[in-house]
Amino acid sequence: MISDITLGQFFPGFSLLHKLDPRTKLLGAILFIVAIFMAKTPLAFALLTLFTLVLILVSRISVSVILRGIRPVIYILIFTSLLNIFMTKGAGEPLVAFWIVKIYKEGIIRAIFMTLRVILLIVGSSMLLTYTTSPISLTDGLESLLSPLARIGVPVHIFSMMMTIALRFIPTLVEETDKIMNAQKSRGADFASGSLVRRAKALIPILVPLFVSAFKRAEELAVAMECRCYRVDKKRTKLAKLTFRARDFLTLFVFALFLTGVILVSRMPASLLGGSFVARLLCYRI
Amino acid sequence: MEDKKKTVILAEHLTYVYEDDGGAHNAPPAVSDVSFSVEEGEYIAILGHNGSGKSTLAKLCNMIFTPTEGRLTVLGKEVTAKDFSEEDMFALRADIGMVFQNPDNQLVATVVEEDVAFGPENLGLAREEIRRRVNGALGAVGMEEYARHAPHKLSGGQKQRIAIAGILAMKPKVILFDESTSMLDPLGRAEVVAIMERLNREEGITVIHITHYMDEAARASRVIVMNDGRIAFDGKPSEVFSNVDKLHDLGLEAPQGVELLHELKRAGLSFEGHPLTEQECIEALAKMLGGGANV
Amino acid sequence: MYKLEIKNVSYLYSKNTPFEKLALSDVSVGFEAGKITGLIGHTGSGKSTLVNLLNGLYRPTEGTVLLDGRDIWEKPKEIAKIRAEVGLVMQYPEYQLFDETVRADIGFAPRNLGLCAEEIERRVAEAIAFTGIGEELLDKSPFELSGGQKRRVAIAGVMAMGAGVLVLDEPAAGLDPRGRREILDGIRAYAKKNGLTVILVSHSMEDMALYCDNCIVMNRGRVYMSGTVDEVFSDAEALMDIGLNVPMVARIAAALRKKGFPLTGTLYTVEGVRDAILRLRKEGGV
Repeated sequence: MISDITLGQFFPGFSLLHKLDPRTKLLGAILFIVAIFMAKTPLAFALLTLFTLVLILVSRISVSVILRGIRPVIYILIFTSLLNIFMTKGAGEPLVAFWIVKIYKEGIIRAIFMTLRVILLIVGSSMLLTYTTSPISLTDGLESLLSPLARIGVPVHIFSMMMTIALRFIPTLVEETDKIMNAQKSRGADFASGSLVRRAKALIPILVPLFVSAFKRAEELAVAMECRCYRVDKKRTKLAKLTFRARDFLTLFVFALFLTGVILVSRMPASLLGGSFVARLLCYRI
Repeated sequence: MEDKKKTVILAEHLTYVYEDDGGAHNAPPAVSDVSFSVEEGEYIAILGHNGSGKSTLAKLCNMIFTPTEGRLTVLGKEVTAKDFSEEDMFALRADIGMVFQNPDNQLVATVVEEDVAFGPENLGLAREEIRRRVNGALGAVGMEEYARHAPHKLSGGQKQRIAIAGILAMKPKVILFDESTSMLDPLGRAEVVAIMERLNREEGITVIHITHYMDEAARASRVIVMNDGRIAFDGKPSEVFSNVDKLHDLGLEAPQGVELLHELKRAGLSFEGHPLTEQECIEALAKMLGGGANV
Repeated sequence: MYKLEIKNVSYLYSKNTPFEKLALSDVSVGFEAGKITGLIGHTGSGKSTLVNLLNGLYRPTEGTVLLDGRDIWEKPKEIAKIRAEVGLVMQYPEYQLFDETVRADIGFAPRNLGLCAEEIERRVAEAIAFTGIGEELLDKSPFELSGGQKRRVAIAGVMAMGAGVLVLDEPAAGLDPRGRREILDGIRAYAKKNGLTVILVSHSMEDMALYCDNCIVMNRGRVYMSGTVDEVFSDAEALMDIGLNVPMVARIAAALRKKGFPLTGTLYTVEGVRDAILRLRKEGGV
């Protein structure tokens, strides 16, 4: 069922990560993503992995949930890894040379770190954002971070209201899609077999009712909102108040420190670690 | 004037015709030449088959539609007056709330308390006041413990209670329920009706409840029956429901107890007055049967 | 003989996830051929799950569903064939309408079955007769119809499949009293004429009393009561014990009996109680 996917889902809880201000987590996620792309050596990746593990520990979200979150992208990972392995040309002799296939050391290394990068990206950002932050506070955080743009005429409030409504109706529409599919299946519709064109055509009995209902919902919602005195052009107040606490400043400081660490480690020459084989391996530039 | 009840809605010769695609008014009027008034603190049920104009009437009262003809005064303000502005309308809407049929399509936010706060936020109230009202409104519908829940995971009845809380948070004087119980299961219906009654009795809120369910209508203090855009009956439930044959002609029914007494009357028995509730019917029947046995 | 039978069926939602939930536990129940069987229970009692099991939308976690004595999951790949034999009309079925004309929409199921043109036409014509919709509307879009008409067209869209079993989930929900009567009368007439086995899910005990031959009461994922309508409704107290409403006349009759008036007969419909009272007066009063 569609509802079994965990990627992008919020898991309520009371951990430190859950309690942080959404703006902290948004900024932290940006710093973390920058760090991932600044990491150039195995040592830097080790640091990244360690940091991600700490995040998981702090969030108290179970590892099986996280693994299930990675599952949907596993085929993409395999595909990009294969591309990297076969398409990368190295400097030295190929490790394997077979017919037109040549596999170089560089390709394998690249595939490994590419995969690691994507996994860290998914786990880290979902740890910080979707898993531990409710969609509404995420929207609030975004609105607050973007609010300076409102002064130059960007409709930040409308954007965030749209986000909120979208988030509110996604589960409703997912449920509805399920219902419509079952109704049409009960009328003998077949979504799983036949040519691509046939399958695309088989979607019409789902899409038409879904659109009809979505428009009807939108219309009713608009009336209901107006009846509750909503006006696009009027200044509104807010119930939720975002407050930066000491823990937020501290967290951001840790993230900044971490980013600096990753950058420094990535540029560190092997000689600093003594220049041994292990040191050279750790500081190998990918 | 002080101790006299105030009129909250005064409709004089209201007519409403839906526009067709071209913007012309060729359709038969959905509401035609309707006059009535609602006093503060009343609990009114509006009945009528689908297409009888009862929903249109509610939407006129709440200024979603503007009457094609006639005069409408809501809480002392004439909304059909030429100088009635959009500002006036939004000011009035805080006082006359509406709960709709589909609970899903009136909840805006992804967290219950954020949704209840939506109205007060639109009114531009201070944060502390919004917090007070949200807590008060959730308490009034018995949903405090769900404050941080996601609305889509609640049952239909619970969603509808949240929708009511969202209206209550605006501190309205009148609430219109537009078939708000029709999509609920019996438990959900009972919960919502109980809240309606309590709001009317304890908070003095004027309740106008549009429904298909005769047993719900029988609990109101006054019943208005709509047919073909006009008022067919307007009176106490016991009076209105005593017209069983006429109600059948209008595609409606009376509560089962009344139907039973009606059938018995047709078979030649007679009863005093107009028993309406289950208890009244039981007593009337017991009296009749007991009397019969004594002869 | 049972047309459709459920044997020792259990059903688990979201098996092997943190959201796992037992919806049905060891349910065994049968539906008599050619009869209308009512299915009653609170939301969450398991009756919706049961409905989805009957036409193979769900597969039992344990136990079997037998149609004409054969396990419907004998060949899982051919489950679509079962769906053509057990027609399912879901709640608020009008959302399944999608085709350009009323006629085409009703023909959707027979077309999916790959029937010949004449047979499709015959079934559509028969289903159209049920809707009572005039010729002039048949070539219009289903979205132009009134609410009650849409409902009937949607039900006809399932009837046109020609299934021997028809399962209807709250077919009269949200309609006014006359609409309810019309639709339920229509379904009963159609079922009796075509010898269908009907399973009717409803919250309305009044409708159950009027339209069903048999009755199954579900509670907390189990069968709480089952038998003829007479048998089930004669035990009003057992029904009220699990919070189900019995028709008001049944409560009135029960109260009168308690007061010492020995009413007998069908004590759950207006006509039944009327006759009982008239009988009592004749016997006792003269």
